[in-house]
Amino acid sequence: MKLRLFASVLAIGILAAGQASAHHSFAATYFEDKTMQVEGKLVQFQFRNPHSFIQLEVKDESGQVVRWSIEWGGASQLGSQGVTNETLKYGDIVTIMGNPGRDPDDHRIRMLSLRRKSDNFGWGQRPGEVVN
Amino acid sequence: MPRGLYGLLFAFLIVTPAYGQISIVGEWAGRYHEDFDDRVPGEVQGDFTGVPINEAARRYAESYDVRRVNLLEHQCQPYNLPHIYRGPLQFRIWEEKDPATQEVIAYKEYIGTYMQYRTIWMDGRPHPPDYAPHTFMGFSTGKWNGDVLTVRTTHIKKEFYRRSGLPSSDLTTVTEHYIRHGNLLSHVLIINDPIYLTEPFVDSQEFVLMDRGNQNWLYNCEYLMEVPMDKNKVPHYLPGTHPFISDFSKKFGLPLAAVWGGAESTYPEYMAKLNAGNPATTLRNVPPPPVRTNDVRPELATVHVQGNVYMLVGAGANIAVQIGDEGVLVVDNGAAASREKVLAAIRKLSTKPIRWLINTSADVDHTGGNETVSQAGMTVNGNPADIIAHEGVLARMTETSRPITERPLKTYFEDGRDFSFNGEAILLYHFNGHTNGDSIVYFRSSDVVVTGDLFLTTTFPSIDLQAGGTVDGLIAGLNKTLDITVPKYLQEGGTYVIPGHGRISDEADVVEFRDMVVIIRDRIQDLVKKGMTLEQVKAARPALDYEGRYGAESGAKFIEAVYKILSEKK
Repeated sequence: MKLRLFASVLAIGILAAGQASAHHSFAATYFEDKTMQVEGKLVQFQFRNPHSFIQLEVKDESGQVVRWSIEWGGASQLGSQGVTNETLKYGDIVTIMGNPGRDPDDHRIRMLSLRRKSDNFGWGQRPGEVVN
Repeated sequence: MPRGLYGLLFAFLIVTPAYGQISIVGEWAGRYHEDFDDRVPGEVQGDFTGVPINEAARRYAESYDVRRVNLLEHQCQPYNLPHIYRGPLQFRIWEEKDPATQEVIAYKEYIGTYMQYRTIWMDGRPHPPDYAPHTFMGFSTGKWNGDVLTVRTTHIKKEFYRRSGLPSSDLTTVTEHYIRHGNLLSHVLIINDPIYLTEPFVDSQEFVLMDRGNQNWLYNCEYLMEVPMDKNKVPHYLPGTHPFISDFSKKFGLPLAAVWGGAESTYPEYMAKLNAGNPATTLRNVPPPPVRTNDVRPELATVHVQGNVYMLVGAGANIAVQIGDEGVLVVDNGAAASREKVLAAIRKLSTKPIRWLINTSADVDHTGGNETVSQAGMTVNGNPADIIAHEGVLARMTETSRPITERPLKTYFEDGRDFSFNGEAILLYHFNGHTNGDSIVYFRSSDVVVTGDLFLTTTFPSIDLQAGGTVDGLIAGLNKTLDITVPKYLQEGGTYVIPGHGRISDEADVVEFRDMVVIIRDRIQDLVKKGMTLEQVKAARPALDYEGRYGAESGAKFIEAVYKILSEKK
């Protein structure tokens, strides 16, 4: 019984995560063996399928504001983890760690973890909090 | 035997049902014990193993940039039928029965991933004609062979076999076998793709009957700008420049030639070649099916597209007819030889006066019936029905000495015009694409776009240089069509598009055509910059991955036209 329950939970997990990943291959889009970190002001939180996106305005070394697009899980996947379209707000200062996109000019990252400065809200530390 | 037992036996025989067909009804969940990395998270770039690809598929995949999925029109595209069962999914099967006979007339499927509905018709109905729209799930009919349900599907939209960019064409047909053993369902796909595969591609996957409800059935997809980019820029790599194409072969230590091996590499005999250090294979190309071009048929077919708009097929070019209380409007009217048939078909749709004709270009296969149809109609002033077109059409018809009664007298020279008829707005947009007199016609309430020869599903586009056509204008026209079209549900339906030739289409079909035009244009542009002659450009085969689908002859003409335009611009 426990094994069947485990298999069912695993299947649900694969499905919830997989519906987002069915869209495209992360391994083909990002350098999965590299990580980088950005901190910036959240200007848009696109909570949806196939993937949620966070748009950040980040100051580069020269002080210029550059827009970064952070790819997160699909709404189905995140919803099952308690994330809603109100979890993040315009103006939040967040630090994001993730895998960089294969073309640096895209300024895109696949989320590994997020930390909000104002209240230390975080994602990416608890089991299951992966974008796959 | 005691009499009581006879009675008992008799009662048993009455109430015991005859053994019926095995049931495949239920909710089924996938098992990913094989090919997990490809089927769920996705592999690194460059996995082309195990698929009997040809040269065209290889070229397509070598050029494919995975960031194309970020384009608005691609984001919500579901996997098509040959692909969807390979991905993470669960699906539900139920029966639809004839209420009078209780016979199964269809199996219905709901596939949670991408929220796709399928119908497998069991009542022997024929498949639709070639000009019917394609969908991602296609049109399916089924038959039981013992306890195996065999399903045949046609009319499938173009998509991929792998997310690495191995294309599956819209001429693919699929045979499936559903085989149930207890609580397991084996699902076998036999895929025939005359454009990109050299032989049938066989895939199989296993599903388990779910005995617990699963709430994860929804996948509402919303397309929006994910990563800032030009919404009309098609990501692709020029031939030979894909920086990540060897990632898979490097990751698994396979020779690149083996990864690209095609059918030969899928057979056991290939191991000997691999062990001998000779992994090279030959990717065959098989002759593709003939592509319908001029589309003149013995009998015209009339199809209701949407709202007030119908399509007539078989008179040369496609014809759109809008009917309503105010009268009839006709966009294009086919070749001259079919003009009486066209008129008869219009009369079957409506006996109200033909008030307006619109010409999308001056081409004779679009305007051969101008005089007949116009003279059969009447404006409110009692004159023959007005013919509207861009002034480029009138100029062309004058230059080619078409009779005055065939020429449009209501012309426009600006970017477009609009008017209302039969209770809906009709908008015309002008482009110098196929010719310098092209019009796209949009029926706003019916939500139907008529593109003329700016968009086709039969051949490569034709750029008539003598008539002022340009490749940039062609692309602009296609992009405008994409601006207008709004899909109803996951890149399907919604705004329908009547091409100059070919089947009723939607945004997903137009975007594939647009992508193709841009990619070939970019390739030729690159070769022109390198100083290549036309012969050298042709030898480089910039349209190789599309020739099987759209035809080598029209491809050669398209390459020549684009080369001339781009080399003059240099």
